[in-house]
Amino acid sequence: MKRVLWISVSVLLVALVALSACAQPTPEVITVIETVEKIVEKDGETVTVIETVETVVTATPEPTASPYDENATVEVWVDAARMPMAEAWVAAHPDEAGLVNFTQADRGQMANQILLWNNIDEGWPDVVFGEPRFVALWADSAHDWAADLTPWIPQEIIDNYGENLNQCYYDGRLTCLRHDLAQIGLWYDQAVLDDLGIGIPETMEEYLALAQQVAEEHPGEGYIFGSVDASVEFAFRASQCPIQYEVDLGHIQIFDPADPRCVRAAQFVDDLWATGLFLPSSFGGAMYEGFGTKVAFVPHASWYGQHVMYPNYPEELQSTGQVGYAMLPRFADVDKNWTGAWGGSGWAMSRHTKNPQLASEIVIWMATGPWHGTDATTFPAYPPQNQIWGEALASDPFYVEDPFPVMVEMADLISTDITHGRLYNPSWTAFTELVANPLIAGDTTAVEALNAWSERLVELAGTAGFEVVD
Amino acid sequence: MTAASHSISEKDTKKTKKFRRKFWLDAGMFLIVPYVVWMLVFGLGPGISALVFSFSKFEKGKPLLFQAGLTNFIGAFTDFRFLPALKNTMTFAAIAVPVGLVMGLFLALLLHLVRDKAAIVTRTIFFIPGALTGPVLVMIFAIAFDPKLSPYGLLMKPFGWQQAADIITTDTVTVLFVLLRLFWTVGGNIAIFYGALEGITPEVIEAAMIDGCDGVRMAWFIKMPMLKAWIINYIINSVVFNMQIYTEPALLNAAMEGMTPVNSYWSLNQLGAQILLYSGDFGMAAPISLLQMTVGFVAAYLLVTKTGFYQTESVQ
Repeated sequence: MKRVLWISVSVLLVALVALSACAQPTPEVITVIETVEKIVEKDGETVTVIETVETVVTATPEPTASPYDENATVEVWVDAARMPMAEAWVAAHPDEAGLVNFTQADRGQMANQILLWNNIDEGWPDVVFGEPRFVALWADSAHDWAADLTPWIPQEIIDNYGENLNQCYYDGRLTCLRHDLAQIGLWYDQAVLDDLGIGIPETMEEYLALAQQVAEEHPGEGYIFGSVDASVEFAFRASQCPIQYEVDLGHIQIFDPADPRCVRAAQFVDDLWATGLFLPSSFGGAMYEGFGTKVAFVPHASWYGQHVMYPNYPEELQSTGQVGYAMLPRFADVDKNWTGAWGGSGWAMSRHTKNPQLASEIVIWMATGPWHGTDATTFPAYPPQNQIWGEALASDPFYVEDPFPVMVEMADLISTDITHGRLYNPSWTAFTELVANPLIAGDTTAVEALNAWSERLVELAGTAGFEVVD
Repeated sequence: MTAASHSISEKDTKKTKKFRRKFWLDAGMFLIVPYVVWMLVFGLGPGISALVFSFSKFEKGKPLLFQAGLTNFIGAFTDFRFLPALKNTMTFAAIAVPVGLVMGLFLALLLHLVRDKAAIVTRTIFFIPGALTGPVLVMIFAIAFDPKLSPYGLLMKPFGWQQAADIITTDTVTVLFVLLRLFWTVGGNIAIFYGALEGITPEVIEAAMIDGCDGVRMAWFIKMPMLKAWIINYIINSVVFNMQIYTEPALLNAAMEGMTPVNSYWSLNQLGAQILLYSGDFGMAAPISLLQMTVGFVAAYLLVTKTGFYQTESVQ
C-alpha cells in the first residue's frame, strides 16, 4: 500500500506543477519593432541616427506606433435575436464579410470568460452585444475588457445620440453605443378609461387618487393600475430616489432609507398596493386576464405595448385603436417626468482588438445602421434611425394615437441618478426580494422595507469591492 | 489468455516477474489509464487548482499564486450571503438525499415484486422521467405551480392560491426543489436499483420462497441487504450531486420574472458564481467550491470506512 501512496503523491505533485504552469503564464506582450530616423545633437552637430525602437502595443488609440492590422479578423458576439442583424451586415458588406466571424454566445457568461482570456492574454471577442449593466462589468477594473469608444466614433454620431448615450458612460469612458432604449412611460387603454370616466393623470398624486377613486367606485371588479415589479424603475426613479450611484470604479453611493425622495416613492407604492389595483407582476397570469377589458394603466417600458400587450389582447381588440403611451406622471414636487428603463442594450468593443477600425465600424453599423429604421422591433436608440422606425407606429391600428412622439420625449428623461453599473442588477434583485415580495406577501410595507434594502445594498457593494461613500 | 501470451509468461524469469510486480505491468493497469487521465484532467485537476486559487490573489483574472494567505477563506466565509446559502444547500441536501433514496429503492422493490404485462408498462412509465433534463423540468414546474396556467389550477384555487408566488414561497421552495430533483432523478435511480435486483441469483430468491418468505419480507430481509453496495454508492453520488444544486434556483429565478422567492445566491454553487461575477476574483470563489467538495469527500469517506463498502467476503 505504501507504493500506491507514493505514486499517488508523485502524480499529484506533477499535476500541481503542471497546473501552476497553466495558472501563471508568461504574459504575452505584443511589441512592434521599427526603425526610426532620429535627429540628435552630437558633439554640437545635428546628425541623423537610425535607431530600432521597440514599442509595446496596447489598444489605446493613437499609440506610439500603429499596432493595428487592417486585415485582422474580428469576432462579434451576438445573441439569437441579433443573428438576423449579423446576416444583414454580411449582405451589406460583402467585401469585409470574410474578416468577420459572428458567434452566437451567452453574454451572461462573458464576464467570467474575460477573466480566463485575461489569464492567457488572448481569446477576447472584438465586438459584443450587451446591456449597459453588463458592459459596466466588462469595463470594471477586475475585467478591464471594454475599450473607450470615444476616439473611434465620429463626433457627429455621438452628438446625434444626445441623451440616449447616458447609460453607456461608465467611469468617464464611453463603453458602448446604445442599440435600443426601454424607457418607461404610462401605457393606458382609452376604452377602459372611457368606461371609468377618467383621464390620463399628470402627476403621481393624481394617479394615486384615480386608483383610489376607481377602487372605491368599482370594488372587486379587477381594474388594473400597474404592477409592483416595475415600481423600482418607475416610482423610485420618478421620485429621483438615488438607489445606487457609482462615483467611480471603487466608490459608490447607496441611498439613505430616510431620504424623503425614497420614502415618497415607497409610500406611493404602499398606497397604490392598498387600493388592490396594483398587481404583483406585469407578466403574470392575472395581468393577461384583464387585457383589453380591465387594464387602465401600466407604467412600463417602450417595448411593453408591442411585445406584451398586443399579443395578449383579444384578437378583436388588436385593431380597435385603444392603447396609448403617455408621459409617465411626475411627482408634484419634481420638476420633470423622470423615468427609468426596463431593458435596453448596446454594442461594446474590446480594448484588445487588433482591428479597431473594422470593429468600430461594426459597432457603428449595428447600433446606428439602417437596419434599425426598417427592421427593429424595439425603440432604436439612435435618433436618425428611430425617426424612420417611428413612422410605422403612426398608422398602427393597435394604438389610439401615435405613441412615438411621447417615446422620444421619455427617452430623454431616463434619470441619471442611478448608474447602470455593477450594482444595477443586484439592486433590482434585492428590491424584489426585500421590498416587493414581502409587500406582496403582506409581511411589511415598502416604507418599512427601505431599511433592509439599503442595508443589503451596502453589503453587496462591499462584496463587489466598492467603498460606500456619502 | 491466448496460447502465445501463455508461452511468454512461462519464459518469465524471476527478475522480470519482480519488475512486473513493482510497476504493475498488467492489463488492468493499462485499462484504467484512460480513466485516470480523465479523472486528473477533469476531476482532480480542477480540485487542485481550486485549492491553489483559494490561497492566491487575483488581478484582472491573473493569479498571484499563494499571495493571499487565508484572506479568501475569511472573506468567503464571512460574506453575508454565505450562511443563508449554506443553510439552504444543507437543508436541501439533507432532505433530497434520503427522499431520493427511499423513493428510488421503494419503487424498484415494488416493481420487482410482480412480473406481468402491467409491471412492464409500469416500469416503462417509471423510467420515463429519467429521460427529462433538469432545465426542462424547472420550466414545467414553473407552469404547473402557477394556478393561472396550471392544468391543476382548479385544485389550487380552494386553498386561496392565486398565482405562482403564493405557492412558490421562501418557505416552500426547498421542498419544491426536492420534489423537482426527485422527478428528475428517480427514473434513473429506479433503473439502477432494478438492474441490481435483477442481478440477485434466482437460487437465493427461490430458497427464501421455499422458506415461506412473503413479498414484503423478501424485499426487506433478502433483497435490500444484497443492494447494500448500490445504496452506499447512491448516497455518495447523491450527496455530491445535491450539494451542487444550481440549475433549479437559477432557472426559477429567471422563469418567475422578478417574483421569485429565491435570490441569485440561494445555494452555495450560485454564491460561488455570484462572487466570481461581481468581484471577478477566482480566489474568493474557490473556498466555496472547496467546501462543497469537502462535504462530498467526508460523506464518501465515512460511508466507505464505516460500512465496509470495499470489503469482500473473504476479507470479512
